[in-house]
Amino acid sequence: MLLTVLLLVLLPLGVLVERSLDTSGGYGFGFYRALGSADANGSTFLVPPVDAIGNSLRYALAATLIALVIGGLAAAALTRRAGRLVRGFDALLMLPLGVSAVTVGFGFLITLDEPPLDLRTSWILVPLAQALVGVPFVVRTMLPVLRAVDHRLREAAAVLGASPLRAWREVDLPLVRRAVLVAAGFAFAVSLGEFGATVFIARPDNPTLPVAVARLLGRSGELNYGQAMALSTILMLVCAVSLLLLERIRTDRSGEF
Amino acid sequence: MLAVESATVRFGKRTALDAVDLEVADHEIVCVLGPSGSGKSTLLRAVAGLQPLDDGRVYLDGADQTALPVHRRGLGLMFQDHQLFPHRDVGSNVAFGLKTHGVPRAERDRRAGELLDLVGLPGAGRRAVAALSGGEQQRVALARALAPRPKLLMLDEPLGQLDRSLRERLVVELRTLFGRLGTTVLAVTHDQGEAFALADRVVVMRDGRIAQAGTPLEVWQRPASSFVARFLGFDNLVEATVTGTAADTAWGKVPVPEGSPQGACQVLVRPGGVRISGPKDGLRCTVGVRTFRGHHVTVTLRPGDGPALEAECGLRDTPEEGAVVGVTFDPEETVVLPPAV
Repeated sequence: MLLTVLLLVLLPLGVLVERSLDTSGGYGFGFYRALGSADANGSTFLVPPVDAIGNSLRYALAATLIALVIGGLAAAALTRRAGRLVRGFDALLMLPLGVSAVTVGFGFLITLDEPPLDLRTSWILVPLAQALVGVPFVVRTMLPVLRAVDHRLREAAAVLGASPLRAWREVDLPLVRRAVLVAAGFAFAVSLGEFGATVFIARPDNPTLPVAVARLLGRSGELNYGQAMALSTILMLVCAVSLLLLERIRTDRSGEF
Repeated sequence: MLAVESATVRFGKRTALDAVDLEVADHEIVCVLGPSGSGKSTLLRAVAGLQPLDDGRVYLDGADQTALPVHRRGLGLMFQDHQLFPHRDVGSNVAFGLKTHGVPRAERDRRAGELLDLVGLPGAGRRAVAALSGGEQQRVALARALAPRPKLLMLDEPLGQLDRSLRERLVVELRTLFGRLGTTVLAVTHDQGEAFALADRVVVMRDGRIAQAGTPLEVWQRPASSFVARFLGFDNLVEATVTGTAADTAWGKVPVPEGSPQGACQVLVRPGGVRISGPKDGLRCTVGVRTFRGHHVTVTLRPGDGPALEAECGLRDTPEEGAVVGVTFDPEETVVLPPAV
């Protein structure tokens, strides 16, 4: 079983790493160096492909914050009321997962293209779309934890002299803090790897890592191919580091996944 | 100390608390007793401020608490399932109420230690709440409620989830402890044994109203109604008409104490007052199920007419099942109750 997982997950990734180092002049970091300049690729990029790392991280951070706020509020609302309508809303929040992200991206593009909601040129458009894909993960992670906070714990705190704000700080927050961190990790990882929606709305001078990889792959030539492999490896590393951080703060009572 | 005046709480159309008046004196232990749904927990929550009143007032030491939020009332409440904070250790659970009252850390730790000694868990301060047994959790919850020295300590089914032997031991411990500390206590329970063992005064509730209030002995000896009698476990009840010192019932003539109210009523004969003798005396009954109770045996008797009777017999003179016996009644163990409504 473990072997199957290793084969299925690690082998393709390992091959990627291997290819990214396999330059025509033997193994080396030639492709990685080429990522540092815009000119090496003809007209594929307006900026050096390596800039995509910074873009991706910035977008992912913004998307994480947005997803946490929206998802957190949604989870809090879903905790308080449990009518049929709310359950429908719950299902609706999973929608971005089911429909292709391409739909989300295209929907954003045609919705937000006229005043007062003309965001086509705003940088916020990308994190917004990525957050939408991340929200279901946030809701799913936070909901069970929020639901598990017994309201009588708050009552116990109140009887012991804690004001509502203090009760929230001393009881709710410590109990859900871990879940918030885990949800943030999910949102971050999801938005880092998000491609379907981003490819529609990321502007040529601000590509994210997956978008840059796809563009490089779309061009012929050994250099482009090798750079795509190199960039994929970087994406993998960035993602692995954030997932490892996530794993460190995660404990057994973190969610339903 | 505590005065509740015509407290009323409605949940939709249902009235959970119907104009309840209640007073608790300083250092008094009052137990509210009733079946589930009788409004006893709602009464406790109303006093704590967790349940807003639709009508009526709550006073503490003469000060109107009705508009005061929960956290400013300075009460202690021990929840039925303890509700310890799972993310804090035992010591900081106990110290929580001191923290919210701005007690400095060193003083908090000292006092938490004292309280853990008091409830019989010395040195447990660093332990995790999840690692405690039910009885230990109960003790920690008690220490936490006592820590800020509340004016009034309220207990919601304090021993409800513990097993019987532990419960019987803890009830004695609690009473001793409250007596020593001079704590004023308002407790709620559905277990009459618990209420009688703990309380100076028992308040029996039914459908959001007070059915009877008095010392445990008064309530036990003179249940005010057939509801209270049945709730206390007395089932020897029968419709009757009292004339002089005799009641006319389906069981025949039952002697009642002098000065009993006359006319239509219900008569209760406590199982100890049902005397079994030879088949020629008194009411003829067939012996049914016998239940061993430790100090005595409870025997179900089926008379030819009228409801079944329960009798308490000594261990050695219990009649055989199926035997036919005669039954007489002891007027000392007979109570005349108002007619059923």
